[in-house]
Amino acid sequence: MAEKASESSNSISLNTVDGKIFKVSPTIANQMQTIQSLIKAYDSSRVISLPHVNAFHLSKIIEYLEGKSATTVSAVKEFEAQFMKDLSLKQLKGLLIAVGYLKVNELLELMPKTVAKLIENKSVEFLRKFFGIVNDFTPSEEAKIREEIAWAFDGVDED
Amino acid sequence: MSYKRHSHNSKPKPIRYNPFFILSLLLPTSIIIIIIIMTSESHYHETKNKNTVSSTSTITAIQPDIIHTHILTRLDGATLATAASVSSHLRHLCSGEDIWKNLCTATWPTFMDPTICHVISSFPYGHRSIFSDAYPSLHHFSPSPPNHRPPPPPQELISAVDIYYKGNPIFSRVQRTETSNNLFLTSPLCFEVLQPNEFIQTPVNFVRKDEEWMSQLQESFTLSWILIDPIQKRAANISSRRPVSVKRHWLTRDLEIVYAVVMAGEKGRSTEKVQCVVKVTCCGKVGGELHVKEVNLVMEDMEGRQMMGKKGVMILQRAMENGERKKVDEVRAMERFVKFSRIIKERREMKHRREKAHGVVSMLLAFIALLLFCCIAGF
Repeated sequence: MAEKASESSNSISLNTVDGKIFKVSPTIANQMQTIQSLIKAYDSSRVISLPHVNAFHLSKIIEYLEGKSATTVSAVKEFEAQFMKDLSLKQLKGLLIAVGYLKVNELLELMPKTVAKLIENKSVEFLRKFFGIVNDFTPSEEAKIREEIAWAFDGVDED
Repeated sequence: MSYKRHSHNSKPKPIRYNPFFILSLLLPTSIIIIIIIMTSESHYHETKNKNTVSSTSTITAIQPDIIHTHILTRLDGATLATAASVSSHLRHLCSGEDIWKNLCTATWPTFMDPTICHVISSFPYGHRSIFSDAYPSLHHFSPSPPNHRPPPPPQELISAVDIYYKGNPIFSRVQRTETSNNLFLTSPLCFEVLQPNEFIQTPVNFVRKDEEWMSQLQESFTLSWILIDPIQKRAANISSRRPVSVKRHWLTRDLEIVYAVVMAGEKGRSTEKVQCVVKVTCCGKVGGELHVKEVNLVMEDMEGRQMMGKKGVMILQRAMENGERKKVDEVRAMERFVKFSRIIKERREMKHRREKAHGVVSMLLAFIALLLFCCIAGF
């Protein structure tokens, strides 16, 4: 899956943190802003190593970019919905970090929208679990904050 | 010298070759080495674990700007407020004035008005304060405690009115009302938003008679009326957002869309509870578009009478100050409106019956008096 042998001479090689090499076309690579600026900085024949991205996440990003360019305008929404549906919560979070690092603008639009929908009308505890954040408020601080915005907790969804 | 050398050479000999001594030296060193290896290994595991934890579960540690610029800006107010209670870091990210300002102006176009911007800048947490005051619905059903000293009545109230059709704003108006002059205090409370002969165009086609069309209007015409007290720095939304009734006026056949919020009034036979009623009156011609020709707010008591300016403003001020804020529940708002309308009807009927009984009794008395007079005059 990883080594997509592309014979074209100007394909760009990306090395993920778990040591897999991906070869992508310049059109795909240029949609990742971080890589675009790295290509400008170095010469394109060099393998670009990506310290924060693993093979699974990069393959998903490439799958999205290639898949989207192949679908017709009318079917894009369906394709995007299916793409997001296939991701588990854990994968979604990991992919969001990778997308944020690589600055894939289209996914930076789509993914936060999905995340926002997922956490809409949810409890504080759900959000803590979702983002993996430890509560660092003292009990009295938390009680005060909760009192201030009591209306927001009115009728939240079950976790 | 030789003795010395002898003594020097012979003395360490037994020590060097004594296996017990070597063992006694080796044992503690090996134990120390083992302990060092173990601790360094466990330390390594610990750091390794820490690294894996931080890379898989804590988004904030790696990309706080994804959360800030991409996720938080897409949240609705309630979720944003919830996110602010997750941790101090997220609270810091969620407390930015720009996020709340964007949320406010996206919710209410009137918030782009310079008057409103100026007033909000004096609120303790700016847009965040006014959002949590005006976005939820107002729940104020228990009269304020007797010892509670009311603040001085407001000099002016600012109304920020937004009307939406299918979620898209079609009309926005900010209006300042002076609430301290005599004329306002002694006449029935009424806030008019439109000037006489002013019309608002709507994207809806006018239909003469159609129940389905009216129920569709009830679904799609929403209204927000935010009252702001600039001195006390409080605000409240006194609209039910979705209409509680859509009907035609019995005489003019104009379409009347009503939004209502019930709240605690003041002590009195018919003023224990009052209802703020926003009425949007629309007219139009068949084939043309529907026009809004009147938007006003009145307050009525349990007998359906309009409250006077002085009392009305006091009630509104108390509700803004003491009223709980809860999530908008249109079904409950509708139920309260129906219940309040029933109370008004019952009280009116009771009053009517009482007046009728009074009439009968006084007629009888007059008749008896006449009979008595005749009798006395006859004899």
